Amino acid sequence: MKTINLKINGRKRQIEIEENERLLDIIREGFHLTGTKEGCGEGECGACSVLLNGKLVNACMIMAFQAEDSEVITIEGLGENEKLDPIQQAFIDTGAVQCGFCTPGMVLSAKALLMKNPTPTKQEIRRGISGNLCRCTGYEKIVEAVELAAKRIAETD
Amino acid sequence: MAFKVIGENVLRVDGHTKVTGGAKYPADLALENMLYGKTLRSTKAHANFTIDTKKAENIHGVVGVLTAKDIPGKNCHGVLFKDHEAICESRVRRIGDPMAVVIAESERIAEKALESIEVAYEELAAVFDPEEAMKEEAPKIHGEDNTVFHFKIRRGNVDKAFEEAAVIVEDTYYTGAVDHAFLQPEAGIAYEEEDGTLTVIAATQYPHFDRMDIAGAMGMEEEEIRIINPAVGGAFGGREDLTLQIHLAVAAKKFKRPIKMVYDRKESFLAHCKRHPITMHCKTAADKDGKLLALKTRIVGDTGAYASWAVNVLRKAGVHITGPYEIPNVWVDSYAVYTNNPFAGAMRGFGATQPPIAHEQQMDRIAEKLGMDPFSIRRKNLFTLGSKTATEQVLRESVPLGRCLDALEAAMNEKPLPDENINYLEDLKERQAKKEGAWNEKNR
Amino acid sequence: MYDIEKTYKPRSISSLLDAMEETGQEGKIIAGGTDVVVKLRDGALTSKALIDISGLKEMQFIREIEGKVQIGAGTTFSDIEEHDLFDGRLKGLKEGAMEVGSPQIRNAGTLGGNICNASPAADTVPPLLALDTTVVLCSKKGLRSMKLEEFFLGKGKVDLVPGEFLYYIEFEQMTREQGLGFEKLGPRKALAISKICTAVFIDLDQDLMINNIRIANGSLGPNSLREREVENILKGEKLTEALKEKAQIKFKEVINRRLKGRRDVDFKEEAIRGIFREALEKSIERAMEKSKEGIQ
Repeated sequence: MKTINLKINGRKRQIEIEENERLLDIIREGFHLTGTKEGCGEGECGACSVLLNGKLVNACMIMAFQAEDSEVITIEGLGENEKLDPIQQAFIDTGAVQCGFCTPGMVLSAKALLMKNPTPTKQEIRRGISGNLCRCTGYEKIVEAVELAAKRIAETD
Repeated sequence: MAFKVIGENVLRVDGHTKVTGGAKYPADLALENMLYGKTLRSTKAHANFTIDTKKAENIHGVVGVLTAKDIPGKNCHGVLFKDHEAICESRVRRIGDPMAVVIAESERIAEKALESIEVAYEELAAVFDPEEAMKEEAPKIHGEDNTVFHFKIRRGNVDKAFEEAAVIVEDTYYTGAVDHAFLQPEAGIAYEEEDGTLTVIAATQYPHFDRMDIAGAMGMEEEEIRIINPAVGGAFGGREDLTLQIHLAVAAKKFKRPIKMVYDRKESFLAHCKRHPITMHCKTAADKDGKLLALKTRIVGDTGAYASWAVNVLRKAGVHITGPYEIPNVWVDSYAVYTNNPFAGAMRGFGATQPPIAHEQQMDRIAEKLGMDPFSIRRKNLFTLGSKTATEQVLRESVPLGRCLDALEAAMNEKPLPDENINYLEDLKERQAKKEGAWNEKNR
Repeated sequence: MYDIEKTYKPRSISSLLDAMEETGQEGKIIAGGTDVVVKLRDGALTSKALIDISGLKEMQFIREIEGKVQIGAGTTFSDIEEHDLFDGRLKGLKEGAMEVGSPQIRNAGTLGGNICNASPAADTVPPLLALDTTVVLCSKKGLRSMKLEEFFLGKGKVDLVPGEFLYYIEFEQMTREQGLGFEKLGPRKALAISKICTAVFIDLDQDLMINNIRIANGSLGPNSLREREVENILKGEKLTEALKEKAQIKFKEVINRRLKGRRDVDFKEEAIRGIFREALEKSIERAMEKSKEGIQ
């Protein structure tokens, strides 16, 4: 057992972790933020994607102790108060959500992409979400959603 | 406001909870005082076994180990035939068959305890090739015959047609097993309610089938079982057969505490069915103008260790093997066969997905032999309104295959689309633009 | 099942060395975790202690010193992808880094991890071999360096002694008339382990004489390796279409000999010709690019 400090979704928190736990385990079981999913446990599916110090990573391949003093943003940390992030809204509006299991990770990948590149091409979007598997949609609607989000963000800025 | 759905984008009612991470899949649920289960699975494809769970039971934090003798009712389940044992008693028929379930205070303890269960296998001759499995001397997987199902179509006189044909193409086509790889691995929770009702929460495709099989295994009435289907992370046919539902139910009743089980990806692959690998031997005849005359085919589907939906899948494969083409003389033998392979069941298309690999290649090769182009030969034989299929079904409603082929040809040759398709797309664009305007208005 | 008893998060190289000394054989360095965590869960690693270097700024750098490029072992693939040092003649290294896994894996995984993991399919290793890279190792005894090529001792094995870690790598900065090309063949665009990856370094003068060439492959042996037989056909010769074809045929021969008896030999001996050709053409194109300083 070990106590670590980290900032999660903007709040400073202290948590007791076990040496064997992964970042994913403490997000889901320690903080009860179950929006972060485990789909494969080895970095193939991206369902556990979170932003760690502003960078998109797979929480299933980072040990909890490594996240000491870091800043983590999960799907629950997106949007402001009751208002959804434009990416989340675009996923709903384009029908990019089906079973929904990939959605939190997919939205965060899109977020990481748009933070770096606010006007991505279709190709860049596909590369940006290439670490996330979706078994339902065939990706078309997801790519459309990211395009729509980028457009809306540009229009409201 | 007029109620209009067709041709409109309809927002998903569960869209909001899914984009915010609020939607609860079974692994996201937790109950007070919960125990965790982990399954011990066979590492042999065909074997008799004995099991000793004592060491595992003595591990601190393990509350018990379920084996076949803990199933209070009938130790079986299955969507068509009850050929699965919920927990195998003394024989395993494939790699991945469940042999015991450890119930412990934590997932980690349960997983560790699996290593302490002692299994002695006595390996049996196994069979992995369905053609071999159909032979009399083959090891038997269940009962006396490995052939689960034989579907036949006999239409017209194929032999005569072959004699009269200008061209005959004959070959064998094979499709492999495919996993659904739905993104959410199997998970569930079960608990007993105060009135004795047994509640099982699991991502499933058939809550009512689950209830029936759980009731049977528990020796309880269906009314005493409640199935809750939370958010389901994809299925595609892979959640039709039961996996952990009975294990959860048995443990919850036995230990009087809520039980949670979550599979990892590896176990998920082991636990659920695959798409049937199918071998299709096809002999197809046409006249000199490319009009199809006859098809004779032998289809063998490998259903692995359990039947699941093999009957329906291989029937459908047999029906669809003609492709969307009129063929006056048809002979189909379609078999579903047990082997010691991973079991096959439902997956997107249900037996309609495999045959195009065969019939479309046959079409291309006939066209090649006759010096025809691949579009013309298809147009010549395509089902249209009023066509009769090989099973004598008359197609009375929409049969828009010709339009589909037109669009395909246009796309392949980079020709403009037929007008009706263009109008459709323009209309769609217009409606989307309108919606965009409304959204911008609202969010300015 | 893995059982970690102790974890360390050193903030300096000296505390890293202390942690390594304290844990000895039981200790394992973890950076991005993209290999270590998977191996732990698989049972392929049984370490009892983990030492995290992902926060060690001293090991995260890309710099040019006296005509040499130095890259810290803790530098991530994304860091390489985003650095403009790798936009010109050196682009082959960036291309290798961009082929690794997915955005998530490139953000976490490090160059040092890619090397020390000693996978035959590591995407950044062939470019580094083609650059004739030197590895600089650090222990309490001080620094030790050797050629990257000699650092590999077989699949999954590198020449690190207890108490020693990979600190940084270095190679000569490119001059005018030099270029690095890279090409990968994988089953799909993302998250695919290489079937083949090939890097070519070329030094080409204005009369198209090949002054020097270094070719390295991944996924065609127990470690990534240099292809000297092919290099020898090209070195000192004038670059012509016929020579390129001759080298392609030689490459096919070499691969056929090496992979004989393996199921994928037919596929790989054929594929290498195309992959090598692509990498070669890119290296030539970059060598012939004119830049103001000759260096970019």
